[in-house]
Amino acid sequence: MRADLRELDPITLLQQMERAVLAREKAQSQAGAGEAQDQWYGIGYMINNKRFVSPLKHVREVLLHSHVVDVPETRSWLRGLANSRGNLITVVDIAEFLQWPLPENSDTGRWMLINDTRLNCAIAVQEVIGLKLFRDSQIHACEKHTSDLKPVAPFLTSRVFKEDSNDWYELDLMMLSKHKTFVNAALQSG
Amino acid sequence: MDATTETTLLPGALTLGDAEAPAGKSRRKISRGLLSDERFLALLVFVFLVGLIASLVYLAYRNDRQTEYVAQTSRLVMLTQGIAKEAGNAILGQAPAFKKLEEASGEFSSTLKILVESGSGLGLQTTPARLTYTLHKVAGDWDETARNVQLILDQKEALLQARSHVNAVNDASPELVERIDELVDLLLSSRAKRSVIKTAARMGMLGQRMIKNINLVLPGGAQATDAVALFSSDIAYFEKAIKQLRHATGKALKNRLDRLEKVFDGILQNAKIILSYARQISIAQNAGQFINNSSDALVYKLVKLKEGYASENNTSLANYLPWLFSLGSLLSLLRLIRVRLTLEAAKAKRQQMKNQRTQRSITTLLEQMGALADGDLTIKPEVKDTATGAIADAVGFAVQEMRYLVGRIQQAAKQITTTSDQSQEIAEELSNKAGQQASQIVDVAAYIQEIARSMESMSSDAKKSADVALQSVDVAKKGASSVQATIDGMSAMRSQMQTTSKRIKRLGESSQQIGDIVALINELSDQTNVLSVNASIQAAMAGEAGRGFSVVVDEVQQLAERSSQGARQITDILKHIRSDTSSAVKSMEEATRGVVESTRLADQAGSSLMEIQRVSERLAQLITEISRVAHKHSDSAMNASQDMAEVKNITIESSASARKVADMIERLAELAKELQKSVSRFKLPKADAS
Repeated sequence: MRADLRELDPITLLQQMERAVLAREKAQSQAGAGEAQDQWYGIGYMINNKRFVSPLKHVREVLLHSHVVDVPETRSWLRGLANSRGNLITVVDIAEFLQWPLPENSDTGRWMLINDTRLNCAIAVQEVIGLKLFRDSQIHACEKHTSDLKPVAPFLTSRVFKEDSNDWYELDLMMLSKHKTFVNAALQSG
Repeated sequence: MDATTETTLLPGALTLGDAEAPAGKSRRKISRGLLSDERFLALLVFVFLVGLIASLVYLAYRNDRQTEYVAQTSRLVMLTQGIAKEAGNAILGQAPAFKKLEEASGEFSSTLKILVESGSGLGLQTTPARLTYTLHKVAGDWDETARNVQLILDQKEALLQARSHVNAVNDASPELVERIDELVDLLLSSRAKRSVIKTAARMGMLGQRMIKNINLVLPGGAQATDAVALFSSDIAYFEKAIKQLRHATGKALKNRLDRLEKVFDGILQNAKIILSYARQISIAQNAGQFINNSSDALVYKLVKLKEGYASENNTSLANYLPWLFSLGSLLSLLRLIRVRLTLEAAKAKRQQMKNQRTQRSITTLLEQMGALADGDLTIKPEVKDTATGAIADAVGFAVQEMRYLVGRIQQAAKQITTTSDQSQEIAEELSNKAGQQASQIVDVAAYIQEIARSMESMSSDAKKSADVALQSVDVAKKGASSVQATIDGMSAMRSQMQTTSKRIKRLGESSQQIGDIVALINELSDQTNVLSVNASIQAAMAGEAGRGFSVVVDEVQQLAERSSQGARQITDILKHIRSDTSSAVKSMEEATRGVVESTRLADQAGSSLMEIQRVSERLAQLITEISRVAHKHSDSAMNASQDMAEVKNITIESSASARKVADMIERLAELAKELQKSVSRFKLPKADAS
């Protein structure tokens, strides 16, 4: 198996895997049809030890840390500018923006590039968990959020996904990117 | 006894002789006493003889010295005469005389110097004081003479020259005479005038007189002065005569006259030279005259000096000393002989008297001793001042001793009789007790044998103990070797442990490397995760077309997560490994320390075992020694047992001997009784017998 893997180039490997997966899914769908419609995909991540999910459409790419330059006369939560494969992106420390305590520096920290064509902006999160798949049974309505989620409440939807003992709150990144405060990163003069 | 009486009698006779001398003249008595002493007289003879020899030696020495002085003075006389003679010869110009004169003068000076300086060079005594005056006068005269001798010697050259010219003149004289004779003959033959012939004849006479006068110059004196005067006038006449002859004869005799004149001129030349030395010759002549005149006076003085030396001894008292000593020794010898003869005569007379007295006293003593032969011990010999006095005294003493002895014997015999009875009883008791002792000794011998046996068993036990001790030595040796093996094992173990510890450390390092690799895997899985997320985002954007891909992405993400999980597990395991490794290293170090400590303890154990070995060896030695000693004691005890047996035998023998002694004592008692009986025939005074 390992020898086979070495002999193959990544693309061929991925194609093999796709074929294998499709074959398996086909067999599954034949066994219990309709089950696919009940599923919801999103990216799971953590801010201030709290779990959040965002729809895949809201995220263009997940990035590893890279070098950041300060931008003068900006808010403290604006970390600065970074270069991602030639594209200039603005990095915002979401924890600081939400006036939550700053997380400790760790290897798990990631940047999530918001899928908004108007502005190239990434938010620095504590950790990206990865893709999260929730069934309908796991989706619950949430009318009122707890006080500890108050800073983030304007950007949360009314849905919450329950997985075992953990609650995953849905964070609307589009809403965040359109928010007046978030857009206005320049320091008020005077 | 004779010797004692003689020694006591002899000095008595001498004092008796002295007592007869008159008491008033004590001084004469002493001298007579001395002159009667043989030893003193012999000493006197000896002293006189020694004096005689000494005086003879002294005189001989003195004569030698005197002879030497006289000889020296005679020599001076001879030299004085020689000097006078040689001075005369020297003045006449005789060459050897000068040398002789010088030598004689030198010898005279040195000899005189010796005499004046007390004869030091000859080893002589000082010139006697009364001759010193004469000697000094001689020295004064000699100084004058010596000065004149020197004057003559100073004129040596002049005198010799004068002499040679005189000789030359003498040589020429025959020719002169011959020429004149020829001339006279020619004149005669030529029938010359008578006056001419007379002149020629006179010339011959003049020539001879001239030569004679020249010869008279050197001896000097008044004759010389006259000779010189005559010589001058003769020359004048001679010259005139020659002129007359030339004139008278003319050419006929010219040749002859020329030759004659030539000879005459030669003589004249020599004479002039001689006269030129006149002053020196005169000085020498005066000196010679002086020496000649003074020599007689000097000789006279020297002769007086010689006589003085010769007569010196005749006046000395020392010449009579030998005669004195000879006389003295002769007189004392005669006295000695007379004293000796007198003593001999007195001694003979005394001996005769003594013999008579002795004979009388012996007869008395013999009478008294007759009773003693009959056993009468009561006698007391009469002691008188005679020759037998001492014998009588001794016999008396002996009788007294015998009295005492016989008394003692009687007492002793009685005591022996009583004592021997007691002794007999004691001896019998001794015999019985010796028998008892013998039986006791048998018992003791048995005990000793028992002791010997127990000693022997103890010896064997000790031998066994020694074997055990030796076994323990072996065991200790084995133990020591085991301990050594343990120590070796320990050290091997320690090195093994060190190696292991190093390996474990290396393992720790390897796990660190693994950790690094795991970190890399983790990173890769993270990146894979991110990639899968991004891929799923892309798939979602692709809509239905990306649906299959999103599934793949899901799988990839799961793989990444699993690999991440695996990496985390590995990390955990590695943590465990690391902590385990470090604790293992610590344990190893502790174990190594433990091993070192154990090695040290084992070392101690080894040395303790060595000590045990040594002690056991020593113990074995000591026990062996004990065994040996016990064995020896056992032997000794055995010997003692044997000795006891001998003692027993001896005791039995001594019992028998005691029995014999008892018997002997009995016999002794009988003998004592017999002795008492024998002694009883001696007659003792009443007091002694009781």
